[in-house]
Amino acid sequence: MTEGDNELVQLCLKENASAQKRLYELFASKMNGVCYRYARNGEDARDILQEGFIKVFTRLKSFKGDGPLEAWIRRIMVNTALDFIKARSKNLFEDEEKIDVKNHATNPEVMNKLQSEYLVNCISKLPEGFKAVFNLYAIEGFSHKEVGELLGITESTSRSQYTRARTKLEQIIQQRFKVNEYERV
Amino acid sequence: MNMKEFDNDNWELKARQLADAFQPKPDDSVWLNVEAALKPKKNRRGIFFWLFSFVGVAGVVYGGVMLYLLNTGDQYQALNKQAENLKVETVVVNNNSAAVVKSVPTVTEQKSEQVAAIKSSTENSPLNYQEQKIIPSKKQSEIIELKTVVKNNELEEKPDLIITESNELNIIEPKNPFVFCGLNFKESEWRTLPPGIILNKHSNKKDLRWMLFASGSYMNQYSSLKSSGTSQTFQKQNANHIAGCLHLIYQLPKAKNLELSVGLGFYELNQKYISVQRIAIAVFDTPSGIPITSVEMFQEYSKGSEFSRNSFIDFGIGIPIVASRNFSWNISTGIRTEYLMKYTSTSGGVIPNNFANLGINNLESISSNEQNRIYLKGMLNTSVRYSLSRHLAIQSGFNSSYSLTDRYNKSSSIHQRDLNFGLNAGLLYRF
Repeated sequence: MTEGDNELVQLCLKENASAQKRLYELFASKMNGVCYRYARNGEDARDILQEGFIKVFTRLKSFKGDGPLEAWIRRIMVNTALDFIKARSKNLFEDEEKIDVKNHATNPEVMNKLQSEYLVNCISKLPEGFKAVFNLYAIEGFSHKEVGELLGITESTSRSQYTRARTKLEQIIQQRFKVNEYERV
Repeated sequence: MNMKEFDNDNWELKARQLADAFQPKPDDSVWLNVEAALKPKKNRRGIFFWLFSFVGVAGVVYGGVMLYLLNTGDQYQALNKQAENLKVETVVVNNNSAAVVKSVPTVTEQKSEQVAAIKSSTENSPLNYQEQKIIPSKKQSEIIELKTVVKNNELEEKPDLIITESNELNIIEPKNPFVFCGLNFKESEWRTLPPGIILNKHSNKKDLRWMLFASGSYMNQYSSLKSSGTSQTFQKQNANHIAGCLHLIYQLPKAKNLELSVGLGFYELNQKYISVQRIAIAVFDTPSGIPITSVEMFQEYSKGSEFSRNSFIDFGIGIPIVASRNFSWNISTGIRTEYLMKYTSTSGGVIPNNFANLGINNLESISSNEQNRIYLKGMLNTSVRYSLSRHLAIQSGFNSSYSLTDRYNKSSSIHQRDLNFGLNAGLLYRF
């Protein structure tokens, strides 16, 4: 944690309103991006972000400063998002369609041309379970074991779900990319 | 090159980079909601204590006011003295022409019908005036006195005067009511708080919103009354009422903009009325007795004033449409049932039917008669609410209501339509 972060945290612990706002403004956009990846729409993302920041400020005492503040806040946002998803769908992997994992292929050129907003939009189209596994493993960088613990599934389930989630995501990307290309022509 | 050739790590790295690059600026309301949620929360038990205390005190005050209102109002009794002198005239003119004029009120009610027909005994008789007086009786419902006055110094009783039935004319009910806006309460934003807080979006916890709205209103009432099965029509004009009301409002925690309300209140109605009777006038050929022509016309029957005091309870549902941080525009609708507490009238012989049947002319208190009906009135209100602070807001608006009332007694019924318009204003307190 940087000195600046430390000072900011100390002020926030004293319930300094301007410091709280500064901290919020510092991380709000980044965390909003995180929330968007787990949410179905902008309204859900806003709710997650709001709930997440309330938790950040109310649990700031528990921040020990042994790591970056951003990572700590990000972890809270992810947990809040997972709680949000779990509250909405009791069984994350109940209704997911069967995916032919052999049939996945993303043209690297497509990947290179992708814009961030486009990718997040495609991720949001994934079923809830796929979305959670993909975000946790591919984007947040958790191991399959950690993903399993977070979602209450086994490590092997996490692996298989991730493979299917990625395949599905690639299909969505290809499909939408083709449509966009066609529309451009 | 396809995905299989595309290195997994590179793909995930690219995906991570793209995902991290997506950093949309959040809506301003998010911070406002977070900020509000960080403020120290109130002790809910304290709120409920004050809520129940307030409701208790309000109940005592309501009961006290009701008792007071039931035992006062003598100033209006003086008006009834005028009733003794009130008379209603129906004049039928027989001119000197060869024709004879016959006045036939078209009322067909059994008990409330009077037909007076006059035949002229000679073609050259002078003008004949018939004066019909209706004098109220304190013992009986009413007495109708009919006498013939012949002017021009020629007083003659016409032997062929035919009186068929006494007429219980002018059936005028005390006006009812109005409506008063009571139901405008709806949510607005709090001065320092964003809508998310009000709509409980900052937390999954239920955050109940209770409000009290004390208001007063002034309204005008436009009424039309018509007795059943007859051609008699009664009209009232210039009615107004003043009301005071206290509403308890509950904002549904999950339905966002929805508010439910229940209100108690009183109102006084003062009105002047003009009743009109429809009559048919036929012109006959004297020798043959064949009608030449006939016309229908309205004839002013009586004038008077009425006073009534009522209590009511209403139930409403409202939707606040937030316009800005401090302002909101509200629309609400509801139903109301009313209870007539006191009624006095200057109508004399033209007292309301229901009261007439009971032999009541000067009512001190009405607790068990037909007049004490319960009926519903529909209301539609719109208002603006301005929040002065987190707890206090002022609210003012336009109210309207409409009611259809059918009143019955043993022999007739009256169909009454009331349309009310008015303004109200009050103070709203949020717990």
